[in-house]
Amino acid sequence: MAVVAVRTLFLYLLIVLSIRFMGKRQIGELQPTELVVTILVSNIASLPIEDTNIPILVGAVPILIVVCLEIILTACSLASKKIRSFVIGSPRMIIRDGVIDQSAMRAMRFSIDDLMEELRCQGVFDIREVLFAVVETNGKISVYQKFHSRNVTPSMMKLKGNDDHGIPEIIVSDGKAIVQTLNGFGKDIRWLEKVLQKEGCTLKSIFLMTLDKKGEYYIVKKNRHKEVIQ
Amino acid sequence: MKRVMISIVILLCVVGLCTASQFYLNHTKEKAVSMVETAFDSVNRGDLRTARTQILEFTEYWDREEKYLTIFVRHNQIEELSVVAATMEPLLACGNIADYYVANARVMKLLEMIMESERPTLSTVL
Repeated sequence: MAVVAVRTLFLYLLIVLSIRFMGKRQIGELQPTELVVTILVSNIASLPIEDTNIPILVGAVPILIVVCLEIILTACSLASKKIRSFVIGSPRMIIRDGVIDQSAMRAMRFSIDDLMEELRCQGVFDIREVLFAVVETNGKISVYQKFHSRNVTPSMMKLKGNDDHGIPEIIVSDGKAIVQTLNGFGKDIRWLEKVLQKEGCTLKSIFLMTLDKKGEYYIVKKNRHKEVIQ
Repeated sequence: MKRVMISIVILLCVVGLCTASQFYLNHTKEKAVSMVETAFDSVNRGDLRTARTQILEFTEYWDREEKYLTIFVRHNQIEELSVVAATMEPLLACGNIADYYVANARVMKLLEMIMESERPTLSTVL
């Protein structure tokens, strides 16, 4: 039992490190080859866990080989369009100028139900609204709607605005200050302490605090029953 | 680029490890076979005392190598050989030569099988 427990721990850590080494964080970001690698890695890892006769190295080495080959293949794909097309494929347009390319759909074995489902996932319920639709290499559809169906943008309304605020970034997370992000905004801990004093709260009582380029901050305090009293 | 370099290094290490394991296994098997054959010759000459000493040396040698072999060879294969090897000396002590010959043949076959199962040939890969 102890053997299985230790092996499980070791292989779990190895898989987590391998997936991180591959450089993707979410399964939704994986290309088909990477998804295959992920599934393969988990299946390979289960063998030494289930059968203690199998040396743990016999599980670890294939995982390392598969992950490393995937990284090298991905690097080659980035360097060469031919390799990229061969390994990952190319995006394919299935709706062009509002007309469905039926031969492209047949070539990709993409049914009408698949098409409508993907369009609905994009928030498009009427196919007449679509000007262009591209099937990406990961199977998802990217949709470009006709003008009258698109969301209104500030530029369409000729509204004036600016991007001065930038993206708010987290500077306090669960009571802990993220000094590196603070410094990125040209602030420091002393500034943070002054702000918190002004707001009448302590660092430990903050659940989340964000700051943007203009110096505007947003604070979410911890729930009262969880608040830490200093 | 850094990831690619690390991947290449890992792959080279794996290749090195596989090559080293092949050499180590080959060396271990040859020495084990040599020890078993020497003991077998002693039995054939009628020198059971020497044969027992040689078999004990073999089992001690195998016990020492076992902990390294278990890193890359299936444990049940190694354990099976250990069990059979452990019976050889008692068989000689009892003067049970016939069963000793059987155990000897099994040990030789198991050594060959362990080696063959780890060698990347067409039959093992397929």
